[in-house]
Formats: sequence, C-alpha cells, structure tokens
Amino acid sequence: MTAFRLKSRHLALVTALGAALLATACEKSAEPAKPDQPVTTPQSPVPQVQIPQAQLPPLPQMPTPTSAIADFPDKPTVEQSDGNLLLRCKGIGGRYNFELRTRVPKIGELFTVTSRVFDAQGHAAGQGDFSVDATMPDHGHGMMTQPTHKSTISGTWRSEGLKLHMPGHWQIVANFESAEARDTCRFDWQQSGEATP
Amino acid sequence: MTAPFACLIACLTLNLQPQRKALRASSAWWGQTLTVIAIVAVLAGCHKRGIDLQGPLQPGEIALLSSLSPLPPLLPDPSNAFADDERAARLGLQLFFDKRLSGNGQVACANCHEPHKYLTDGHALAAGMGQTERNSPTLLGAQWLPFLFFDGRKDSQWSQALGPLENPLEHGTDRTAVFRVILGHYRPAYESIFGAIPAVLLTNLLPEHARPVHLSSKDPLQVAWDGLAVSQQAGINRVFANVGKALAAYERKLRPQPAPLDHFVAALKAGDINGGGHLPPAALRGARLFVGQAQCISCHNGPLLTDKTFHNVGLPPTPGVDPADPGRGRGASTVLGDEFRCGLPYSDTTTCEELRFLNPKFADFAGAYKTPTLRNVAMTAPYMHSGQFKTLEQVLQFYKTLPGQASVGHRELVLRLVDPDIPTADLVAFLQALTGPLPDESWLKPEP
Ligand code: HEC
Ligand code: HEC
Repeated sequence: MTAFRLKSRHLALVTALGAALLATACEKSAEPAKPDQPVTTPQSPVPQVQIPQAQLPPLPQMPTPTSAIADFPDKPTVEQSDGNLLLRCKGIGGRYNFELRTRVPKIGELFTVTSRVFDAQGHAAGQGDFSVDATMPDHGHGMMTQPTHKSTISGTWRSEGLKLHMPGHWQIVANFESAEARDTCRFDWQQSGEATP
Repeated sequence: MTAPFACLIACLTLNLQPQRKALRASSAWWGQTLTVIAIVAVLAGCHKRGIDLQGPLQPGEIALLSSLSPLPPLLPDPSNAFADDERAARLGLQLFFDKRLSGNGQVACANCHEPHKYLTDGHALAAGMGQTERNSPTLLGAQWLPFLFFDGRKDSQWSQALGPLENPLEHGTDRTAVFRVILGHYRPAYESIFGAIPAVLLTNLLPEHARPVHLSSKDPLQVAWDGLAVSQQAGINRVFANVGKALAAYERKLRPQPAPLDHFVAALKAGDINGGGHLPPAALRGARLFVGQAQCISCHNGPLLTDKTFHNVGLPPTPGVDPADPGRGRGASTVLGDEFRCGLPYSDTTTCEELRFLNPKFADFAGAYKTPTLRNVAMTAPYMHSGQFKTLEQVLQFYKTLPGQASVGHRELVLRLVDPDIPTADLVAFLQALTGPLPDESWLKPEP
C-alpha cells in the first residue's frame, strides 16, 4: 500500500489546526472569491426579540489604568497567560490605542471582550462608537453572531456575543470612531480546533 | 531551503507562539517575525510534504485526535425544568412510540426515528402523513445542539418535539388533539409530574381539533382555536409544551455510546502510542487523514464530530425537494419568531445567549445546513439533509469532486477538494470506527 502523506508534519497542540489550514492556503480552489451576497430567501420580517440580559462569567481582572502612548507596541501584540488574552496595539491611523482583554476563545462558544481605548496623549477616549468584530480573511466571512458593545465607564467597552465558529486564521478587528477621528486595530489570531461541547 | 527543513522551522516557530507569555513591546517584532517565518515555511516547505501514514503518530495528530473524545457529560437544559426528571423521561418514552398522537393514528416519533436504526428510518426522505423534504437525522447526540433541525429553526429539544406533531406531513395532529390524548390516556402520570390539568380545560365543549395556523385565518383549525377562551388557549399550550418537555427528557437518555475511537483515544491519553490497537490500520490512516490532509475536522470537530453550526457544502439538488430551499437562511429567522422559543412564557429560562446574539442576516447562512454529528454515521444511511447519498463512499466521492454549484448561496470557500489520491476506504474505515452500541434497551421500546 502506498504511504499516504499528510501536509502537516509540524502540527502541534494549540496551533495544530491553524497551521494545517495555512498549509493548504496556497491551494486556492478554482472558485472565485466569494462576493457578499444577500440571503436569497424571501425575507420574512424578523420579529423583535426581547431577550433579557444574561448572567455572564466574571471578567478577567483589569489592572490599574496605564496608558502612555509609548507603552503601546508599534505592531499589534497578542499575549496569552493563564487562559487570558491581552491584545494591544496602536491604531493604524495613529489616533487611538486599543487594549482588548478576553478569555482565550473556545471554538463555537460565545465570549466577551472588554476593551479600553486611549487617545494619543494616553487619556481614556471619550464619546464615540466602538466595536469589535472578527473575520476569516481566507474564507471571506465573518462571525455568525452579532455582538453588542456597551460603554461601561469612559473609554471602556464591553462586547458580548462574539463567537469563532471555525478553527483557523481569524482577524480580530477593533474600531473606534469619535467626532474627531476614527481608528482601527487588527489582530491575527489562530483559533484552535479543540472543541468543548 | 529544503522542504523538510522548512517544515521543521515552521513547526518550531508555530509551536513557540502559544507559549509566548506577556511579550513586551520590544520583543513584539520578534514574535511577528516568527509568525512570518512560520507561514512562509509552511507554504514553501510543508505543502506537499508530510507524515508517512504508516509511521508513528505525531504530537499534533495526537492532540487533534484527542479532541474528538471522550463523549462529554450532558449539559443542563435550563429551558426545560423537567429535562432530568426521571418520571418525565418515562412518560416521554411512552409518548415517543404512541401513534395516537397523529392525525391518522399511524405515526409516532419512532416511525422516523427507529431505535434499532440508530434513531433514523433508512429512507432518503422521511414520510409521515405525507412525504417530507428532509432526511431523518439520528437523535443520538442531539442533546448538545443549540439549534435543532438541519436549518436550526428550533432552539431546544422540547420545542423541537412540538414541530413534527403539528406538521401535516409528519404526525399531522394538533395541540388540542394532543391534549385529549394526555387527558384520556396519561392523566395520572402527567399530573404527577406537571401538576393538575387546569379546570378550564375539563369541559366537554372543547373542539376536537384546534391550533393556531398563521397561514390563513380561514383555516378551520384556526377558526376553532379562535373560538377558545384565552385561558383555554394558554392551558392547552402549557400541556402541549409539557408534552415536548417529557419527550425531550426521554431524548436526553438517547446518548451516543463509546465507539472504537473513544477506546483508542483513552489508550492514547494513557500513554499507549498505539491506542491499544482499537483502530484497525485502515481506520487509523483514515483518522489521520480526517484530522490532517482531508481537513474534515474544520467542520466535524469536537467529540460529536460537529461544530454544531451551519455550512453550505453545495449539494446537488434532490428530485422532489425545493431547489430554492434557503436552509439556515430561513431557519435563523424562523427560530426568533417561534412561540415556544427560549425566553417566552413556556420556556423555563430567560437566559438565551444563543438567540440574543444570533444574526439572522449572516450572508453565508443562505443554503447552509447543520453539520451533522458523525457518531454512528455508518448506521444512519442515507446521508445529507435530503438523503442525497446512499453510502459513505458516495459522500466521499462528493467531497473529492465537489461537482456542480450550490443551488442557493455558494459553496463555502473552506471546503476544498479532497485529494483524489486519498483512499476513500481509509476514511470510510474511520467513519465506521465511530459506531458505538445503542443506548440501554430499556429506553428503546415502550413499556407494555
Ligand atoms: C415523518 C417522520 C418524522 C416523525 C414522525 C418525527 N420526525 Fe423527527 N425528524 C424528522 C426529519 C425529516 C427531521 C429533520 C427535519 C429538518 O431538518 O427539517 C427530524 C428532526 C428531528 C430532530 C432534530 C435532530 C437534529 O439533529 O437537529 C429531533 C430531536 C427529532 N426529529 C425528534 C422527533 C420527535 C421527538 C418526534 C415525535 C414527536 C419526531 N421527531 C417525529 C422526521 C420525523
Ligand atoms: C465546510 C464544513 C465541512 C467540511 C470541511 C466537511 N464537512 Fe462533512 N458535512 C458538512 C455539512 C454542513 C454536512 C451536511 C450537509 C447537508 O446536509 O446539507 C456534512 C455532511 C457529512 C456527512 C453526512 C452525515 C449524515 O449523517 O448525513 C458525512 C459522512 C460527512 N459530512 C463527512 C465528512 C468528511 C469525511 C469530511 C472530510 C473529507 C467532511 N465531511 C468535511 C460540513 C463539512
């Protein structure tokens, strides 16, 4: 019998699946890139749902506010410790700095992100619209859920209802838009395939 | 750079990533560089290289295989206060086999979910009082699904059970008739679990048949329903919901049992690199392909071998089935409008995270269907939401050729052609190693 071969000799614990996806990434299928296409159904009007707030697990402890612009890395960083994630970056427009905290997402499970946004002087950003989104650039899709983003105290937001439904390369995107400026940060994240039912 | 060398670098750098703790700003560059090296190396070197499937299992493979087992403990179902009530499960068992719960006295849940066929019926398309457009899925493992049906139009097992009862193509009955069956044949058992049947329902004046129909207010069933007092409607709805809760309590007993894969992984985790020999050689090669080159694990992951979500794999159209069926594209809005969904009065919880963040407009829901569990899949032919394929070989032939185009939406990009050189027999042997015994016999037939 022929020895059949795997492409992914290097797979290892957490990064295993993501790396395998990367390994196949150059083998684009013949299909054209997926355009954004609306649902083709006769859209039955979606009834207004009143779904109450849920009890959420306690959030990771926030350290005392730090902020100086110099503290922020030039390139986005993703730090992991004890099952927590800390994402930090200078916005690509250079107007705001972002700091996102969450538990390491488990595939297919809802998770919450708490974020802080600072202006270039290191002060908590004031009024504005904040959001966190996640997309899979290689697959041309985003999340299946629609998260909510609520400002708790000035410059701090709590985003609930994110879900990474597939293993592989995700981009986590934070946006902030105030009356003066808008800015964005993108973090690369390899979601592992280890599921917990 | 030679390929194996590239592979090695990729391996090392990628493995470094998760252990990077609290990287400082100054070392961020280094982290970035590592990532870039890793990606380049993967693309350059590992592309057509790989593991000799006869050689020893690699750590990465062991990790992935271990993620498929053991079977998880049952999760609580807060929407059903009777989910783990033993008496409710016993009542549900009787109801599951009771053909009186149908318009023609011939249809029970067990018709389409036959216990000895692993809770399926062996037909491409299920038929009750009429012919449906879907294949009967197994119920073994459905306890863990946040959304039920191929299009996820129900969000709990108890609410799901109410669907087939009033579907004219399945049981073809109605909630008022269901109430009469409970009153006539199950009253003591019902009342001991759910409390007394409300007095407003104990009248000879109730119509034989009545239910909300929505589609047309002229429907005789709707007219009869409109003739009921609000308190009677609420009382009948409550009994109907409780019937669903008893059925769901029963279905929670129908869990997949350990299969050769589970024994294999248990031995692996205990340090036996051969997994106790629980997978025959072909199944082991298939397992490695499943988590590796064939990338089945992108969607069929976790111990149930499903990501419990929805994908468009672009199946060929089925004769007799609406080719414009949007699948999840409709199911996602239907569940939000369901009178028995989480958070409404008949549900026992108001914590409904999955519904709260559900995005019914997610574009890729068009033409998407739920990834089925692959537990016991060798016992549940035919396959796919409309029974498109008769055998597992045909399913794999499909994944190897991806013929045609999706009739609704488009086939997901993540679904790539499986290398035609991969032996189908190996993957099939792996799928066969997912068969466990049936649950305890006492749950597979009604009490006399
Ligand atoms: C006429 C055949 C038929 C009858 C009778 C029937 N079912 Fe089904 N069942 C099906 C089909 C077909 C599907 C898939 C339908 C779909 O996805 O739209 C299904 C889906 C289900 C599911 C969802 C499983 C999943 O993976 O999402 C459950 C649970 C279920 N049925 C339980 C029941 C119960 C309980 C009864 C009795 C009240 C019942 N069924 C009666 C054919 C039937
Ligand atoms: C993009 C996600 C995805 C990938 C990758 C994928 N599947 Fe599937 N699989 C699905 C979905 C979704 C269905 C159900 C489709 C439908 O009915 O419309 C399915 C159905 C099946 C079925 C039929 C199960 C049943 O009970 O009807 C089998 C068997 C199967 N897949 C095996 C595999 C194997 C083996 C691979 C790897 C070669 C694989 N799948 C890769 C998503 C996927």
